[in-house]
Amino acid sequence: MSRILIVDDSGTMRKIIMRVIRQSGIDAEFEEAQDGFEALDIADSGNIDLILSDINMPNMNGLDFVRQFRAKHGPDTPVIMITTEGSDEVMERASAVGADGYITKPFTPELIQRTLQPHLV
Amino acid sequence: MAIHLASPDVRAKLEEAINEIFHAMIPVPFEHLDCVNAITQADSVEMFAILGFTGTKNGAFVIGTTRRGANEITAALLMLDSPDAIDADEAADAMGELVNMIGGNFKSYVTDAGERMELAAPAVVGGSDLRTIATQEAQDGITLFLKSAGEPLSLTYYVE
Repeated sequence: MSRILIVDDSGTMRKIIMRVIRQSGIDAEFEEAQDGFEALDIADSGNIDLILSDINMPNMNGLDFVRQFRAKHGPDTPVIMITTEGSDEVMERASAVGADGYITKPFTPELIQRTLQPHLV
Repeated sequence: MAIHLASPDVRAKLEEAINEIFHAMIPVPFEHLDCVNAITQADSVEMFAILGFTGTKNGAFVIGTTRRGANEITAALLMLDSPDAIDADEAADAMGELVNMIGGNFKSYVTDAGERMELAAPAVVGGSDLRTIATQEAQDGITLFLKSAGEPLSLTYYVE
């Protein structure tokens, strides 16, 4: 079973993401954080197989979180950004701070499965 | 190429955004009813989800629906059998995410046309008159009327 950290300031969106991941057939247990600060604390505890992070969040946004996470934990844990904005500019910024991929909202179980599964071997 | 609210493309892009979101994530019956070039809302609206933006133009996307309509959408997003168990915070959160997805989707159209658009964080408020919520500078708008799970739903896009 994979351990996935969901980072999103919306509690409802975190529930939706967990529901869709389960629906996609991925066997996972979840940790939740509502901003980058909480996510860094959880990541410090270790044993996270994959991180799914929103970009626009209060306190510490997703890009700053990934930048700090990579600086502290290196490149091994895959990080997928999940965002409403699918512009090239946003994706380039995400890639520049060390994100491994992105998912644009709205998303389907098929898209989640296709994006996450290669990182969960 | 500047975007004009009266352009059929604006209506088409807003409808496209709604269709994509409902088909992917909100499995409830919905239908497009009408569209007007005005800042208004569906009848019986009890809550608004607002996503402001700045950039080449300033303005907002606003979704209006009934409390029941918000509960139905929230329950569908969460794949819950009954909308009755949804509390007000969950419904507000879900409506904020819905307007966020619509704005994010429409932003691609705007930026592809060479305009800038920076989206704010969504806000959700109760109320019955969008004109009291829209800024005094709001000059031009388009409103789509829909029915979602049998409840009225409107989407307004306005610029200052």
